[in-house]
Amino acid sequence: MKLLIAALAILLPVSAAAPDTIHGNAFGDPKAPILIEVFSDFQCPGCKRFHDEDVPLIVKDYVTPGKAYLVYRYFPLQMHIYGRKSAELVCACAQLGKYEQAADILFATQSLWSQDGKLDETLAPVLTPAERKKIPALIKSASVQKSIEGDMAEGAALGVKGTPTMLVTYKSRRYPLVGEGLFNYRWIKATLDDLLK
Amino acid sequence: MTFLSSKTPAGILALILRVALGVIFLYAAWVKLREPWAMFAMAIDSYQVLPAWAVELVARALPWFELLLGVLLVAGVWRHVSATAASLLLAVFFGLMVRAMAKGMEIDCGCFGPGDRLSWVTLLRDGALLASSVFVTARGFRP
Repeated sequence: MKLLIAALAILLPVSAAAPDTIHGNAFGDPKAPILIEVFSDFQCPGCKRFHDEDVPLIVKDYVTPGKAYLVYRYFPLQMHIYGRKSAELVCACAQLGKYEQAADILFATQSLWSQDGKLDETLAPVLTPAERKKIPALIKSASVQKSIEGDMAEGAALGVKGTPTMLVTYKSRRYPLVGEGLFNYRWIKATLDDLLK
Repeated sequence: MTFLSSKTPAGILALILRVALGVIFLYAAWVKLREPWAMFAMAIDSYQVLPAWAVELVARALPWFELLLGVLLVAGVWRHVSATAASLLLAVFFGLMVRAMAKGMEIDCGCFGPGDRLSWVTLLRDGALLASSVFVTARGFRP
């Protein structure tokens, strides 16, 4: 019994904290000193690389400890034939609280659906049958369309020219991180540490 | 009087270009020093010519070197050394930019802080600065 109580004492704070740390396409504490916005396109190979290699480290080192609030922004590029559709689908999944699962599976299988365009089938494993039925209506909904249009407009206004672009905001100043150097976590960490020191 | 040492049109032009180059180096240093050094490291790393340790060294040191060069050029102190150093530095920048353009790399120039995309405009700008610097250097070595 004591063992069970001890186990619950350890597990309860974790399970209670989990819903507060993931809000659709945003992760962490909104009151964190640093805001990280990632302008991303699900069909962009660089975005997949950034999502797979850098984001887990950013989450571990800065989001989980409450130093940064990470927000993924939808920024589908016209050059990517399924860019917009994938953004709409993931945004619809985010309305159902499944942003992370949808984004993960799309990035993991990017090379497949980028060829055959089978996005609905790709996302099927992360949705229940009931959720799958809601997706078409959600895609057409104002909340999904406004969310994507809003992110694209914000990116354009901020001078985002390509993906992935990482915008770091600290004390009301924005620091754009772009280019090949973005794939070396060493520079991201050094930038964030420099701001936080 | 260093600033008024040459009254020929070429001498006056060299003086104007030297001061202009100095101000440009001061501006380039300022925009880099006001950002976290690693942001400049990212720009350098994008060129893919240096190992990470060298990227860090250059990212930390170059803005201060540009600042020193800017001060020397504006003040007209150690003119031969500062003009030659500026020409060599700009030649290296120009060479790296030509290489990146030839390879079709879509990267930031890194010249004046983030968001300055490498293009024919940036190449032309750096080429003009290099030509100006070479002119100032050559004038400085005239007897």
